[in-house]
Amino acid sequence: MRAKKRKDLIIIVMFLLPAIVIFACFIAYPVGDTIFLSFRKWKGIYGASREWVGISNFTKVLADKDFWKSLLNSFYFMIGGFVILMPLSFGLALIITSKIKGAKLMKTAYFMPVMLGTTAVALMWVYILNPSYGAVNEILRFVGLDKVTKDWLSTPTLNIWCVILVNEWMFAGYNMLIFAAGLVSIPGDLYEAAQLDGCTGWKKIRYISIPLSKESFKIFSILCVTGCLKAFDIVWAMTKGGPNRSSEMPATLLYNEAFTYKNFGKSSAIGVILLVLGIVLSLGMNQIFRRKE
Amino acid sequence: MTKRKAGKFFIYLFAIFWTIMTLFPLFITFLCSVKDNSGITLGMFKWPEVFRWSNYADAIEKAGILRAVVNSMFVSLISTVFIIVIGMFAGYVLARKKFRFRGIVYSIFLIGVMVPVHCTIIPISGMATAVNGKNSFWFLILVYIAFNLSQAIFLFSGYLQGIDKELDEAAIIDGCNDFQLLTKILFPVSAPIISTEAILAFVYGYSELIFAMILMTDASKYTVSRAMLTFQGGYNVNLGPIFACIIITIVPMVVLYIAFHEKVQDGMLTGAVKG
Amino acid sequence: MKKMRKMAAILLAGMMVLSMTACQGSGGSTDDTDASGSSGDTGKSGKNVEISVSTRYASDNPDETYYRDMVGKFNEMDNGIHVTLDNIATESDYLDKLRTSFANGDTPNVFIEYGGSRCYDYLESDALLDLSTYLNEDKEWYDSFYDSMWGQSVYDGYDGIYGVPFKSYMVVLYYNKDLFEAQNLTPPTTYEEFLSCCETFSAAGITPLQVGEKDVYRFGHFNNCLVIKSMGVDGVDKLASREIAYDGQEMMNTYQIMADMVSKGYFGNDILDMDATAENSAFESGNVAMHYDGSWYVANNLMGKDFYDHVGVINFPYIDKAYENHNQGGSSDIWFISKLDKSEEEIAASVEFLKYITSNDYFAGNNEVASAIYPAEFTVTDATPENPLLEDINKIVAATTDMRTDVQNYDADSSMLDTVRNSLQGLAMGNSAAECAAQIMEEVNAFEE
Repeated sequence: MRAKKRKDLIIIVMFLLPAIVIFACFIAYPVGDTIFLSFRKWKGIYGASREWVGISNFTKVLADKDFWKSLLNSFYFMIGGFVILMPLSFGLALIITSKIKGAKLMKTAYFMPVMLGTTAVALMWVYILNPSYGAVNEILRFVGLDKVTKDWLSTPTLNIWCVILVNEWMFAGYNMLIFAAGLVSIPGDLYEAAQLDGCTGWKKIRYISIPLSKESFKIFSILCVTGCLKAFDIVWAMTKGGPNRSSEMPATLLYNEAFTYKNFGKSSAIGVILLVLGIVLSLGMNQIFRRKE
Repeated sequence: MTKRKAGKFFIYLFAIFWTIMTLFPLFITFLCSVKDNSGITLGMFKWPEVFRWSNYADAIEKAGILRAVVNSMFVSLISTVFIIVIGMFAGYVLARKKFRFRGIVYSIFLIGVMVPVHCTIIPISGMATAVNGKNSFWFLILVYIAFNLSQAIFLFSGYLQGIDKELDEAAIIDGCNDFQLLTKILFPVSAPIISTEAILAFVYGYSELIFAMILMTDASKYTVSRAMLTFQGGYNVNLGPIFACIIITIVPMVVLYIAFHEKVQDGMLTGAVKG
Repeated sequence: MKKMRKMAAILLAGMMVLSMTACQGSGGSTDDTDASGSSGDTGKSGKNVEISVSTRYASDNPDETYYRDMVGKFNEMDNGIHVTLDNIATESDYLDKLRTSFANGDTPNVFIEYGGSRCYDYLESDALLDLSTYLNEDKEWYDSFYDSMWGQSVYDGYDGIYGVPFKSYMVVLYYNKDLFEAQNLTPPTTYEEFLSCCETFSAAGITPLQVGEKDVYRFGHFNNCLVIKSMGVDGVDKLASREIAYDGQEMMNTYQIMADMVSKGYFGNDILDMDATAENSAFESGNVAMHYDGSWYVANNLMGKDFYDHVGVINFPYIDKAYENHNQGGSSDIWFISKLDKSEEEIAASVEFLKYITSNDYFAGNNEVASAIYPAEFTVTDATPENPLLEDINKIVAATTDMRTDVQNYDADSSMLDTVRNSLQGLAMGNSAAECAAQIMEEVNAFEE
């Protein structure tokens, strides 16, 4: 028995080793570096002193109302993720794994925004949302809703929601793939048995598809929460955090502090706060899923 | 019965609506790829007055986009293979073995999906200098592996947990060791999740910009996003050729996507794996 | 649980040590191979220096193609120097890479930056080469530059000159001749005339200006002009030293002017939803009366002859007559040489490269393919094409008595440029002048703490 245990241990170490080595070099080391810098003042010049400043970077960040506003924005991102993105991607996954006609075309189409890339997608939506000639306002005017027309990307709060909707539109296909992988592995005879019991349509989804996709939902939740905290590309491409810093995200602030103002200490402090928040939220997420078991 | 039909009708309606919503940008991207700046900024959705096919010539000659496609394919395919293999090994251990630090190892991998990319640029670039990894595809591949590993491990271990353990036990009785069990039995059974992660990892590596830009300076080693920067100047951006680049680069991606996703559907046939 | 946490910490630390030693170990070995490699080269060809040069000149504009061609020629010369280029066109990406290289100590030998307070940190850390000895040794080189162009290369409290100007610009006002004629207007010289032109156009349903304020530098440049045209270059210096406050009456006036223009629609429609590219397209479509922009707008021969028949250029209208010839402009792109971890041979080669790339011949040749305004004097060749708009700009440059670039470039706080631009962007959202000032002051106070 002990020999088997030792053999098992060797297997565990051998199988985990490549992942851990790569991880240590490319993730753990940068994270360690970020933690190290977050307590220091550094202008980003090699060889220059990295003066210890205690927790002053953290107090500065936490006293900055732009930072809190950016956290609120990423909180909006999370709400959007769970309320819109999750049901949407799951729905799309159900569609492409069902026996619907044209599923092949559909699943290619649904993933298209991710393949087109942020540059093209952002440019297009900025155009669609343009207040005077953009399609959205044109349609609203056409149906007589002139009062509802807005300057979508320049009105604070409204603009971050527009970016969120574009984000959900773009990544619905991405998360659809994650859900679809879980759905296809649900044995067909389960559905058949359910059908014999008179379970059809919505009930099949409610009592089989959703419970058996629990693992996919858990992975989605973790990826969503962490992804929302570090969201950068789509915001940067659509609004650059503006106008007047109204759509700033924690990651855009972090970027500006480091690469525009060269305050690498403060930037790292934002990074550390994001990491801590991410860990806390993911562990919380794990607890929720465990309780449901 | 009519209620079911109505439900089905609405599902179809939504499926088609969303198909149009997501295919439309492809069409617009194509239209933009044959226009000039004012054609794009002043009338993105209008039919082009003149078809400027020269944008494609610019994309190929000035940005060297074809070469960039080859480079990107190389980098992303190799990194995808490694992500799958390394991820499956780690995922297998996390899903199947009981050991003391399992939870901790799992949580540490969690950090991988959390760390903001801008925190890592400077340390990783410093490392590249130290090991002479600048302008090396292999270093770039290692970076891509690292940034996709966490997600791969989560997906794989989650999936493997769902597979009936009877399958393992049967294999072990047949004399399989862990390595054989994983490669001969679990790899094929996990085709859906492997193909899915392959798609996600491939798309990431194929279109990544920041590391490709920081680590590569040699123009012959540019990847697609880096090559596209050719048309974004300080005071004037040349939008037409950028869209032409996007159209060119998307073709291999779509082909691979369709090929991989066939494998996901195949998973339906393997069936009976969820216990 | 406590035990597990402890173990996690130990494991993490262990991995970190492992990875760091691994990296350092292999780092050492590569250094060795590098050294042996380069000594091998020296054996072959006497002196052979490799220097790296980073710029943003990656596009297919004629001047940038010319730059890359000329570097190619430099490499063909038998001077034992080989230049490798790294060109990234987009500003944020370029700066990402430059900042990263400074952080890791593997900077390019020669690079382009904008000077002013943005490079102060590099100077403070002793990373930049003082070029004054080289400029003094080669008087002809030094004298070829206009005196006004050195402003961004010198720093209070530091002796020496740290950068060599490469490109220069001036912000001027372009106007659509046809629209002015149709409204029976003459191009404005004073700000009142400018505003009355705006009013006339507006009343006639013509957009006076169309600004693409999605790019925050657009309002930034407008405010720079207002500051310089109402307080002169002294005003800029006093703002930097805080003798004039960002919430003082003088500055409040400039915000107010812009806020009024926003509410009257003089800056055009949807200004927050348009970027500078769209702004240019709008002006070129012929429905916009005026367009303030840098001389770079016409510097490249991109517009075609037709454009010149319809577009004229004038000095930006003045608010105070005394500052009629104080303008926003100066050197925009400046060469710097890094001395972080660089050998003497590399530094000597870098200086040689700089002399080549800022020589009369270089500028004269550049002028043949893409006329522009230059930081240095040179003899114009016969092969230079006509560019009437640029000739007019050159007249404005010649009449200019003093100039400053972006007002916040002279500020001790390098984040001021961004702060002011973002706060000005608030004006386009309907913020009042007082709100704009309050936002700026918040940053000023935070910096002084």
